[in-house]
Amino acid sequence: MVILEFFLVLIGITALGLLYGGIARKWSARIQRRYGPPFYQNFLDVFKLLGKKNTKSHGVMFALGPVIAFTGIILSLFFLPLGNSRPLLSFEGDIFVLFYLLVIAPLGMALGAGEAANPNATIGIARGLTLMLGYELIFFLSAIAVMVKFNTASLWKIVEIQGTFPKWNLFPFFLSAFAGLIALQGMMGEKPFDLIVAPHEIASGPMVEYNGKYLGLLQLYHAIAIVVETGLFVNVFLGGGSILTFILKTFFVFMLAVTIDNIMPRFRIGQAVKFYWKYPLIISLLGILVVFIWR
Amino acid sequence: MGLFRWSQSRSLWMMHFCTGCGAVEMPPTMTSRYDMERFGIIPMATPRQADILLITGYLTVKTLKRVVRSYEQMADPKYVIGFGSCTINGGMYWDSYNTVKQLDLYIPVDLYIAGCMPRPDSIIDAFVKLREMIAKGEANGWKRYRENLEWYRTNQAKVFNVEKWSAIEP
Amino acid sequence: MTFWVIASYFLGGIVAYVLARPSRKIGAFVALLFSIYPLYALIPALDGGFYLRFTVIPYYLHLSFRLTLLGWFFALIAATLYSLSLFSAYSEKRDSFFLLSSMFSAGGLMGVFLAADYLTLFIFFEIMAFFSAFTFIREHRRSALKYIIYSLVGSYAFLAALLVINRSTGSLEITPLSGFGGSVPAVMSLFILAFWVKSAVMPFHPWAPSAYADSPHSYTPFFSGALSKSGVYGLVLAFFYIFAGFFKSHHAFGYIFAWIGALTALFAGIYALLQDDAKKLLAYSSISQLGYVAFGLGLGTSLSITGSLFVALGHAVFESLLFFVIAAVYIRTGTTMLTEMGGLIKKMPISFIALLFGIIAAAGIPPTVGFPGKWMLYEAVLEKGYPLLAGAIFAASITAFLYCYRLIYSIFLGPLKKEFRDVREAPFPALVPLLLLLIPLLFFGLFPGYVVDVTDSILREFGYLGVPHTPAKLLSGLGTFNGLAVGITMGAAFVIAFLVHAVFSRSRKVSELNNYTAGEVAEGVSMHYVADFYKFIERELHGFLKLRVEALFNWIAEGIGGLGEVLRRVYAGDIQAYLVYLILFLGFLFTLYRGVLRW
Repeated sequence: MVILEFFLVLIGITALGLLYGGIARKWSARIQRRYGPPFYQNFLDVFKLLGKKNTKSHGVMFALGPVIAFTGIILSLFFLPLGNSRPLLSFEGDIFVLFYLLVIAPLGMALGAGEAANPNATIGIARGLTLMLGYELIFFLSAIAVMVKFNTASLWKIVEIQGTFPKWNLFPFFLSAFAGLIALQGMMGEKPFDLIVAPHEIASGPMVEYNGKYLGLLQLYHAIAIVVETGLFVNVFLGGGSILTFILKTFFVFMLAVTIDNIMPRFRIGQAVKFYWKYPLIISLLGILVVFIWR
Repeated sequence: MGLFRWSQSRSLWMMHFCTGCGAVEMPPTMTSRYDMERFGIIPMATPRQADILLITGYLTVKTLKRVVRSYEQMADPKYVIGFGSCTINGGMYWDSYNTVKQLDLYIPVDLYIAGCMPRPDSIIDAFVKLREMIAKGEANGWKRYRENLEWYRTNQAKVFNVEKWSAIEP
Repeated sequence: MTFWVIASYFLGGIVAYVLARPSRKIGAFVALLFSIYPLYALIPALDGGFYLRFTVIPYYLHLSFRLTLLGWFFALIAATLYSLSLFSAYSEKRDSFFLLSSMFSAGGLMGVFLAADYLTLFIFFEIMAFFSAFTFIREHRRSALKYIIYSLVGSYAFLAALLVINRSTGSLEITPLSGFGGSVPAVMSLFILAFWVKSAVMPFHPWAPSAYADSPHSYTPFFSGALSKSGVYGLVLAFFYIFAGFFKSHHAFGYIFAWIGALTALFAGIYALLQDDAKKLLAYSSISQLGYVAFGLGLGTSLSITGSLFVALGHAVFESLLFFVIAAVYIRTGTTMLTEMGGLIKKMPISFIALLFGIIAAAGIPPTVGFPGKWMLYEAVLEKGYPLLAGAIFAASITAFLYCYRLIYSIFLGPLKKEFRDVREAPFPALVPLLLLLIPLLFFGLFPGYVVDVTDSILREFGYLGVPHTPAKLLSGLGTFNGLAVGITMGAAFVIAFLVHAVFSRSRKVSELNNYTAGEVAEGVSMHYVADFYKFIERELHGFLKLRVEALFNWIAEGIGGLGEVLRRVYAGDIQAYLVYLILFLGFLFTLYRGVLRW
């Protein structure tokens, strides 16, 4: 029964992530005054990629890379409470565990792409890891303000303490939430932080050699990652509620990120890191200061 | 199987190999005026990810080598669209000593777009045609290439002026 | 028995030295036998409370040993790592002198962990320091001397501290300090300096990168994984046993030490990702990990101490595993430079798997041994309510991802270099430690509770509460971590992901030249993106990177060098001058003697 629930969550969230991706493409198209693809376009892309034949592999690690990435994101999904109603495994590990589980997926992809011997891939990975020094720290600092205030590290408890609408953490912790939102933009690789993939510079970075079913797996990974990353932000700052409200909130956070993505140019990696170490860092530190004054 | 073929016809990722002047027609096709994304067609950065290889314009002998390599790096099923007169019969370069006159001697072309330049309308038209062909199972260039590899190799070797040739050396 | 635990190394060192002369094989085998005995003797000796005292010179020099739980914990780590390092040393064809000096250093280390009085601790500390330097002093004189000098500074401070303590309390036994007359902070600073240096926590770290990089590749795992633990052992002893009263009542001291640890972890992590030498990279990574340990000790809650001990164990497992892999790679390729390797995954798959697990643990990803310790440290710092410290160590842990990826990519991934086309997998003895270390790496990650059982007993000896746990699950006041749940879910998720991968059509393997390079074939061009891997960070941090504590130490060294030049004039090399010195000195002693007696 429990296993069935986990399967349902996995399939549901994957479908949800693909749907989000499709709607985001439509939304971007509308912003750019285009008609845009149908909202189910990402499903078609994944089916097509998985059905491709004669895919090329560069070796065992290359093939295992997307598998590990998918594994890592499924794992983090299960340790994320989906709103107030579905704790899944979040009783078995708290937010620090989740932070580390979230790294498995990019690391797996990086290992796989590394074996391809394509310098574009490695440049993308080096950029991604460097960017991690920026956004992970900012997100951590903005989340720790909440954790210090509530004196808990359990994501489930943070969700429960907040309650519903007017009691969202967003309002008392608005500085931390703002910094967290900037960090989220980098975590999801949306502009101005899309320098990991950067198709025009480094030929889609880590994905440069991936084709066919491997790329399909990476698309599935990306779909779940959208929900998990926005879900992390929602759980920390946007309160609890039923699974439906959780979905709605993640959708709006993602759409916000996509909108920013559409109106921003791309940073160079040096600029991006410097940016993160400047303004968001100051904002998140101020957020912590607020907590200390408030206590 | 039906699901895969249907999604293949609806989701086409394209790598445009922009050698000639035809490349200038691509931006309007992609952007808001003609918006090819509504057919699920988006440009991709590498041949690994692409389904369509769009050859825009004339190919020199030297470029053809790169085209063949890129084509062989794509995963099956893959489609080639020859864009502009140059790919059909050499176009205005018909008597040039170093351009390739007829593309489908070297790689299997599923669809040609005639014209010099073809307008974005005709590019879109070609994509729609290709969708129909894929749905009907008629776009079989990649199968032809596999079946007649010897023949293609011979033609390629002839134009490269070498004895024997394979796309990826050592 | 405790006596034989230590003596086995010294005896074994001598026997192996003699036997390795005619036959390297027999020498290594004998050394292994002698090094396995302590392991065999230590494993069941959990009860502790053993005390042994024997006299070397009547009335003057006694050595006394005692097996405490803390000592047992570290001694077991050290004994295991030393036995493993012998396998690697055998593959490296190390000579008899290496066996002698490394055995003696291991014996010295055991003596440190089992010493019951300060003098014994000091003597064995010196034995350990000198003989560990002897393993590489012949090839790399400069870095060995650097290491010895740093050690000596610490040791003399320690000697001074123990003399002060002895004069005030009249005893040399290692007990909680009571009835001490002088300034506790001063004597404590002197006391911990030796261990501070040995654990390579900033600012006393500059010996470590060069010493780790230049020591024999098979010895470095033991050097970094176990010898540095003598520093951790001393710090734990000082903070929570000898000076526990002072430490508990002065929070500022612990807080500052925690910051030192956190900044060590962060800065060493940043330096690690800019290194081009695999061993230097790992050396800085080792410093970074010990920064975590120091950080946890500084916080001084039971959760953080447990975390520190866990990180110390984890560091011993994965850091030595990584160093063993480098040793194995060096045997085949003859280089440790990251820029000179690449693509070895196809040639050395077992080493690759070992390194993969090693970096996963070093990056602290569950369910490996690297994670529970870090988790406890985060919980502890959050419990204390120091968000900035938490941020600093979290930033340090991100640097771990960066340098870990660089390590595995540069050595094993990317294109294969032409000169390594014929490389084979490392010889079997060099692979033994890799495979054996994978067991604790995964087991203690899945079941961290078994380690916490031991650390709980250690903490209770020091008067702290334990950390609530079951074999697989750790609980803090703030959250939970269940290693087994993570492991099982990960396994299940991997199966799902693998099935999705396996259901669809098989892929075809292509050569590494069949790569998207805009249609070109990059033959004869190095496609390995490896030099200046993190140039962006270097560019952003160039101002910070210029600040190096080594510059200060070098300045001091130059000053001392100048002083030495002056002193040299005294030693003129003339026998008559020395005779005059001797007569003057004897005269001085005589007047002193007469004067004192007359009084």
